Amino acid sequence: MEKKCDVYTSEDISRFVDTELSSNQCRAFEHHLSLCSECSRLFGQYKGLSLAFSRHTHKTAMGIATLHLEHKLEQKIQCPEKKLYQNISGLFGKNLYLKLAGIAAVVMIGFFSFDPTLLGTPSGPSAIINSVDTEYTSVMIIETQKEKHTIIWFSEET
Amino acid sequence: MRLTRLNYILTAVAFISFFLPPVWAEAQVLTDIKVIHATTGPEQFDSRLKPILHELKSVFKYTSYKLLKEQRFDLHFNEEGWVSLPGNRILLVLPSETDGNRIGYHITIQKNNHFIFQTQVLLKNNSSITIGGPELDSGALLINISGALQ
Repeated sequence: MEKKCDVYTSEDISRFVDTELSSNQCRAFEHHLSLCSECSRLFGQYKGLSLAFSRHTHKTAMGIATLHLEHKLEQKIQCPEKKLYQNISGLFGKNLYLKLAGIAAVVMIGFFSFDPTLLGTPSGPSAIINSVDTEYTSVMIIETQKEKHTIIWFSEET
Repeated sequence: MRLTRLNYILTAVAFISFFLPPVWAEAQVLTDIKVIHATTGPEQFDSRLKPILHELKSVFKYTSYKLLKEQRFDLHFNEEGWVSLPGNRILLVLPSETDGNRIGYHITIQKNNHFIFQTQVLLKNNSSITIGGPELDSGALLINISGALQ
């Protein structure tokens, strides 16, 4: 039959191992450990468990990082032809909607730049006047605002 | 090897195409001439003037636009067409060139066998130009010339 300590419970020992006690409580428990064999035994067990757990988590974390690095390295070595595709894909990130919006914008810009009449305004005047020759001095060249219709107006006054 | 042959064929086609005359070199130009009498009288207009009426109204003070005459020509390049105008005037039009988008026109107005107005324009295909100014019965004479490559 195991002898139980009357001063500290197993929970107190666990908190000590996890460094959750105050500095005064820590000092008092350390002093008690040198006197109580039961607490000393339990402390040894908890400490061992804690050490094993922390080693395991560290090893797991290191393992994931290594695997990821190895995977990336293998991809680079084995699939150099995928580089271009990856760059294009990476242009807009992984957001599908952003990619679609980008493609739509490029298509629309191309569409309207090749056919400006689709934008609702004529691309230039209806006629370009290269030369005008008249006996009269009063000549006006007018371009209407909406349809850019060209009008030549001359006066016949002598 | 196949690719090399294809390259030769494509190069030959491109070379021949370069020296071929453009498609519109033998084309005709449909030239439509409308002679309009613009006045400040009671508001009236011909339905055939509808496409340009809004443009004319946006510039001129006239309220009435009466179509006096409309004449159409299928002209070859450097072939002249003419229309008699009121007041012993004659309008001469001659399509001279095209780049496919615009048609070069020489336009001349004569009065009593004397040149009173000449111009050289590059008219947009399927578009028109209006020339105006000569006085006519307390109004003005407007000439609308449209051109379309056939």
